[in-house]
Amino acid sequence: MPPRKFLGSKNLTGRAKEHSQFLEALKLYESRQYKKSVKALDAILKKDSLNVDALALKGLNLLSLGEKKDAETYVKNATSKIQHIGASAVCCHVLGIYMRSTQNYSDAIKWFQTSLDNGSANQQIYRDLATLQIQIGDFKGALASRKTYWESFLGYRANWTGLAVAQDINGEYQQAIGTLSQFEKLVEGKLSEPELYEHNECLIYKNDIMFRAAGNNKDKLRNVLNHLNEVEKDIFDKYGVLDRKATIYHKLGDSKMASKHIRMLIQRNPDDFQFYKRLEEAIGIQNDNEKKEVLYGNLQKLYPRSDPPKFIPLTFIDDRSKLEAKFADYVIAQLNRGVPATFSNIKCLYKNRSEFISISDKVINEFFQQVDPYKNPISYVWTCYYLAQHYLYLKDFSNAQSFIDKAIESTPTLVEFYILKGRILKAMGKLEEATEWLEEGRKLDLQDRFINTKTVKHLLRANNVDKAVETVSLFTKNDDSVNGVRDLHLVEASWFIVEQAEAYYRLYLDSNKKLHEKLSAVKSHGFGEEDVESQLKDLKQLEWSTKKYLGLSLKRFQAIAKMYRQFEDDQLDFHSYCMRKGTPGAYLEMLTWGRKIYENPMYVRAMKGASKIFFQLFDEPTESKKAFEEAFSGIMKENTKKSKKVNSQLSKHREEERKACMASSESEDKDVFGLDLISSENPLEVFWNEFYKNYSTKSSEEVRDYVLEFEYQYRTGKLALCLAALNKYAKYHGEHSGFTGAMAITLLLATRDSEPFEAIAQKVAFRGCESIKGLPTAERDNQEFDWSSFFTEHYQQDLPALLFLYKHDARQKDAYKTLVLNQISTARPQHQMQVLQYQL
Amino acid sequence: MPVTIRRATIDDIICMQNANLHNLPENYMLKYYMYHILSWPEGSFVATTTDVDEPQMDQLSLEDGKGQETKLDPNYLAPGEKLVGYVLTKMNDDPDQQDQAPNGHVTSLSVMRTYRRMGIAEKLMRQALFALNEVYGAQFVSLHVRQSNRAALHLYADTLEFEVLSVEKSYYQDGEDAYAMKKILKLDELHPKNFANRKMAEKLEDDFESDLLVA
Repeated sequence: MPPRKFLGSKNLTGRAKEHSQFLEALKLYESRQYKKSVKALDAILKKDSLNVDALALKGLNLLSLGEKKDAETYVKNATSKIQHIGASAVCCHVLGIYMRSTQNYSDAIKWFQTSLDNGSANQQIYRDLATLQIQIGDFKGALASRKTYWESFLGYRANWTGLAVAQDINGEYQQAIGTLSQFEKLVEGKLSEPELYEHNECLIYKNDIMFRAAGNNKDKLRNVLNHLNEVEKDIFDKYGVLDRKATIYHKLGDSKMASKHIRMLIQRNPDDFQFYKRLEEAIGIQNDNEKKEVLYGNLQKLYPRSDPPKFIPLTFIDDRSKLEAKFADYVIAQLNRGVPATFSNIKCLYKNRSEFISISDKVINEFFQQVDPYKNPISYVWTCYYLAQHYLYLKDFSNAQSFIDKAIESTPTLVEFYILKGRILKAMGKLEEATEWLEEGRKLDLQDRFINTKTVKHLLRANNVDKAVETVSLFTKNDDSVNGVRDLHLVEASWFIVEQAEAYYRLYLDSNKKLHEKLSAVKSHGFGEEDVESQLKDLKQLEWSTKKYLGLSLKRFQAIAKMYRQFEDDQLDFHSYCMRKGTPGAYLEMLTWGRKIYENPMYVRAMKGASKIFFQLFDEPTESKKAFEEAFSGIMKENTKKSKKVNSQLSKHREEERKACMASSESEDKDVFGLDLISSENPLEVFWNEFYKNYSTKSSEEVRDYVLEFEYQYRTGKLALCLAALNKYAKYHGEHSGFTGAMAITLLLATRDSEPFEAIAQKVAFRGCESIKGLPTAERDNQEFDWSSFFTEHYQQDLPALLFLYKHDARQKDAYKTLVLNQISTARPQHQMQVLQYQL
Repeated sequence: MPVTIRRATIDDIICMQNANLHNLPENYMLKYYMYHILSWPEGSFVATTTDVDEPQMDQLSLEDGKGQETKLDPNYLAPGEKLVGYVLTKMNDDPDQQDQAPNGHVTSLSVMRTYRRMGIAEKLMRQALFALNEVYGAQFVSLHVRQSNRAALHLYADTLEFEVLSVEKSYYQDGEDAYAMKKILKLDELHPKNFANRKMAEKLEDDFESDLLVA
């Protein structure tokens, strides 16, 4: 923490020689001669070991040389001394740069600010300050900094654009428009050719602010339109102009002009569905099916190579025979051309209009009957492929298999067929067999990465990590690594990292189960007749695998979290870059994107995967952990000699394993297997710091996962926050949804005296429970009350909610288990297997 | 869910990177995609599949056979919107080549294998070429293609009428040679309306005035 104000540094006054030595060192730093700079600083420090300027700059030099630990020591030393004696502006600036380089942006801001307060005349600091302030979301601070900077350097467009953006994001639309207009006047008639692009982007940006500020006010919207017409000749993005005009005309209720402009947009890109929807709205015929049919008939003639005019009528036509005919036209044309995605293209109709399931069944089966496999092999095989997907959708696995087998038999060289064959087998729960078919397909086209990726995904789903790594490494840059794992981390291949994390987690569950079974067998029956040494080896191997798989799983999930922090951080350079490049519109979109980065599906998936492990580590009672360790080491002690022999055998492979699992360079990461990660004293805190903090503080309320919030707060003991999570969940998902009930019951039962929560928290939670409609709070202490029946009577039964209750309500585990089994009885075998094997 | 072609935005780049990693051996870190989108925001395009109706929110349930894994999948941009192809382009900003007329470069193009034969790559390229010329004034555009990639070669050379400039030896990391290809851009030739009809078919063009509600 920097001091509030400059307290006067004795280092600068009266020590002229040292000061000039320091300035020399600073110059060396600036010209990237870090080693020489350190040498010069050492000379100062030799005489005066308390010289904070020298300490700070030495820290920064060391950081630039990659010696992070030493750098930190010097910087800490400097900052602790500054608390008492203050620091020069230069010293504060140096510390600010250090903090920025170590991603400590809030502190960097404070040091830059202090440097300015302490009299730094370096105006560049304002630009750096603004960049950091925007990065951490301090828009107000950023506006002040941008303004000061702009005042100092009026001659650059970037500074005007930067100021306008800062005003805009603070909601000061009129000021932003004013800033942009003022600059337009300054440069009128003086623009050179290369400046025209950024000029055009700024013009459309200004119009964009005007449009946002106008809302639904018609006068203002007309004004925006007039402005657009005025500047149109200077705007290159004609598409953007048309789009904006169409929107404004529509808002103004000018149907004719709106549809005219949308038609121009369609002509430019007849493959964008949203234009067609907008055209319907502009003409005002969204609900008039007859007119829509005519409209799409005409559009089909104008754009015969585009999908939307052909497809959209399928979503609204009611007449069954007409629908059948249109459907046949649309689908059969694609089958005849051999379009692999034919079924994917209509699948949403199955879901949104279920009559299509029977239409498709009838139309395509009839078509299939009359296709000659010899005269029209293309139509024949792709129709088989289509029907296989159709039956897979209906969970009719035998028909699905029979059709894909026909396709493969007829054309054994098409990779797509093998992918589908594998998918069908996977859905049937035959994961191993599925990988074999994928492998067959992969061999047909070794140059194609897509089939390689698919094969690897199947291998990971089947928990065959070694083969998966071997296969995926055919397309990676392996350099000095034994496989591609490190490269896949480098190129941010989240699909692989997450799939691998999940595979490791399943392997952990498997080997943990085996380990406990084996241990208890040995404990109760001894080693029996079999070879003691090989059994010891089994035990040790299982114990190691259990640890290793859990650690690696968490390690991979953590890699995703790191990756997303990097994505957030990647924005840093663009706060200045986009102003220079002149792309404020795209830049604003980046800011919105950056704020939502932790809502991304893959981040959430990794976070949820990791939460399972952290929660489990937290929940595991110390007694059972101890009991296990005692039993395990007891057995080993009884057989010390043999145990040691086994140890040396096993440790031979350790180094090989380590190399195969390395996800970064040796120096960057010593905890290759994630063993430190899983032996943390405080798993909840690690979860918070590594995953949950960014999500829970930066995701928007509507999309947040309140069940996860409940689970987290339940473990921190904050029942009031559990209640808040429950209420939020009910607000977005309904008061009868499964999780609403599951959380309500769990929360209520947590308020019983026997539960280890704070009395006050329990009281607050109980009062909250009393306000939940229909929840029989009076039954809380009734040991006989059947909560599982209460749940089934009052809430929707969905599988995740039932599994939640299964885990939380130990007393009624069996009842919930029965409900879960009921629930999955109609699911695909693959899903049944997953639940049986890994959840119950 | 038929395919939509539209301009790429920064919201698409994580999925673009994912598609690239699925399909091609040349991969880039996300920041490189950011650099493209934030420098030339009008130049890149994506192909996505879209639900015409409102996206269904029940995708989390297991019964529909989709399960949670569908939603939390790297291909998905939003519920019901899945990315199946992209083209990533830039303008030539090499400081050593600023004496050249403005020109564009296709950094990467790929379509998921299961979505091929629908003309997606061609449509993405036509939009991109048009935009590079109209917005950035690109006079020509260049790209590299693997010598063994016959499908891509056919698209560039035959369909899009690129010319082969030269063969660059060992252009790719694995040692394969590349064709360096180039196409001169002319705005009126590039307009997507020129390609709305099938070849040989009678050409109809919207006049934006006639009543589309009359059969």
